[in-house]
Amino acid sequence: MKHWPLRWKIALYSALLAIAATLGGAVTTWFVMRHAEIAAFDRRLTLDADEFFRDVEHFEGSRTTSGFVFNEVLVPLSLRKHLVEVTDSNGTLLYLSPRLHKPFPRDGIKEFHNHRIQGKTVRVAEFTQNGLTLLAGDDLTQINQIGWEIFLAMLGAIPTVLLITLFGSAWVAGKAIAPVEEIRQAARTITAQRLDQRLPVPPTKDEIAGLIEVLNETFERLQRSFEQSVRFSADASHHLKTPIAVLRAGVEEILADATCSENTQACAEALLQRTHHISSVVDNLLLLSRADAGRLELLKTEFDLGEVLEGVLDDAHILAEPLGLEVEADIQKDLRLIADRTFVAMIAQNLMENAAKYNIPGGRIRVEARTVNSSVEMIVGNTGEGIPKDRTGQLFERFYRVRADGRVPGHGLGLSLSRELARAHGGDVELVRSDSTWTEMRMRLPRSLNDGKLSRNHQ
Amino acid sequence: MQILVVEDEVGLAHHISRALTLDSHELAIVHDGETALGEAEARHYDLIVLDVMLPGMDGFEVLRRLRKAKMETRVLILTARGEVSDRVTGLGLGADDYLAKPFAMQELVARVTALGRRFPEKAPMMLQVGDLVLNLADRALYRGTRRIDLSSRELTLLRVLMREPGRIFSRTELSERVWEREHEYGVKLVEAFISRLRKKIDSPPLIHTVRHLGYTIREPE
Repeated sequence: MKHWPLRWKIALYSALLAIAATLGGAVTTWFVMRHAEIAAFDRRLTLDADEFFRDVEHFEGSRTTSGFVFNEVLVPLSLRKHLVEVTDSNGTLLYLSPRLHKPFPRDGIKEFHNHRIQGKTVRVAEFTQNGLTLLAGDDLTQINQIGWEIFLAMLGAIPTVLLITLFGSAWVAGKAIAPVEEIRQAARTITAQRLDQRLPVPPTKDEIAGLIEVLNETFERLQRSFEQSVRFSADASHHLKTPIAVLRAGVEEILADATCSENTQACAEALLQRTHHISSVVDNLLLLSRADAGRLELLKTEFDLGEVLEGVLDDAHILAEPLGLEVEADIQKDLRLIADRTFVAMIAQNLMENAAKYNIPGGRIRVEARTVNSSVEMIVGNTGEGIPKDRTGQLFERFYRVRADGRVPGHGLGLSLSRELARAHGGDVELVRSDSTWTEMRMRLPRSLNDGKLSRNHQ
Repeated sequence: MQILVVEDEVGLAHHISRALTLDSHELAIVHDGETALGEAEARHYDLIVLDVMLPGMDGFEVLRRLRKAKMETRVLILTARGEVSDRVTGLGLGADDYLAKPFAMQELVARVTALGRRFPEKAPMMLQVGDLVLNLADRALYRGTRRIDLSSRELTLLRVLMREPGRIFSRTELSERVWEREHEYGVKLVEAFISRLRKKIDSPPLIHTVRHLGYTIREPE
């Protein structure tokens, strides 16, 4: 239920409320109806009793004769269908309904009240006039029956009520939630690359419009701080380059100085390589920060991926030799694509470097490249030890290295950058397989850059 | 050549100055854009080495004003940025060449020398060192009459060396030139490819190792 869509939750709650309301209505109706029926019963019986006394008074024989002789006929028919008992002033029983097995018990109450008689609740009242006492009443079975039927009828309406409210409120809720769905769709398009996007504010002044305004303000702040951090890393990279240039120029001077000892020159040479390494890290950071900002510049040219891979495979063969690695390649002919050649070469180089770096001695590297629909795919597989399952998620994180024990060179930006570069092309770099015997990375790039997806990255 | 170096980082300016002086150029160094403009107007310079990131008026602005004032002095731009758009901006404003920081000082010297030629050389389609001839159009390499097949990396490496015979390239610089970005095993690869090239080119040797400095290609004496 926690995971239900909001509209169905609302629908369910409304349906439950409707059922409760119907039940409440049924009980109330039953109660009111019964009360009204009993009042009508009392009134009817009182009228019948009046009629009885009127008839007795107008019965001529009773006045003239010395002794009053009660005649059954005096009891009106309308009274006779109820339970009736007539006694004279001496307490002599003059008439008793055949349904009554014995006279009513006396409790001194004259108004209508209930009695338990012969296992039934009987409503009875006492009327006295001209020395005659009439007790009239009846059990309430019939009245109860009517109330019960009304109650049942209302219960019978519950399935209908349930269906109507369930689907009706789902529909109404759907309409009410529609703007929320629109917000969701619009918010989904706001990514790091498109933080300048805002949600459309509806013309209404309701809660939804208020929510959107607040969200838009939040996005505004988010965009500002994001841009700030992107600008910071770009600026930092720029400002690092001049000091590195100074460092490099200094080291090169030592290297070129014939008066320096061999030892010093050897040191200088190693330092030169380090400056190259530092500047490469700075370059990568700069590219990453630009990718984050969605401002990676792509210099599009048409080229054959095979040509790029030629060089990369060339390296692989050299690297494979001392490690005893076997390099296999299956490159489809004429893999033309329109992309940034330098970036594509960087991705290919990185994947190949990793395949050599994380391989076992005497292992195997396999490179495949082919066209798949409108994409070009390159798959680099190797007999590495595999990336532990719990670490595959971090593989593309910056400065993350599967083995950070110094056995393997690198700074942990390669894969993250490769992925960003591929994504800027509207493609991707993914880990497709990794177990104890075989690890496979795949680069996928659209053959032509004219996809709509790219235009935002290339400004 | 009379060269004006505009670089706000004093250390780097000094290194540039030393390297270019060693290559027998005459140098003047300034550290900001305004002074650079005044200096360029006051004296004749054959070449201006111009940093883009300068305090106050930046390098692009200096270049714009120079060209607006109809000064045709050649300009080599130095920049911390390596973006395509920066290069396009620089060249669009009338810069003659562009070098991204950090650069190999030898590269700067080579570029300056190239810019110093009265008539800029067209990139040749044929490179030759002794009897070694590399035809760039069809990637064919000949040692005398013997044809040598080269792999992709070998070709790129040899081309870099043959473009500037006699110049010493450090391993780092070669790895920078041949690989798209830093290769984890760049230096190792340079060594391996150089030894392969040597085997293919055969004797008498043309590629020479200069201890600690790197490699160079030159005709045998």
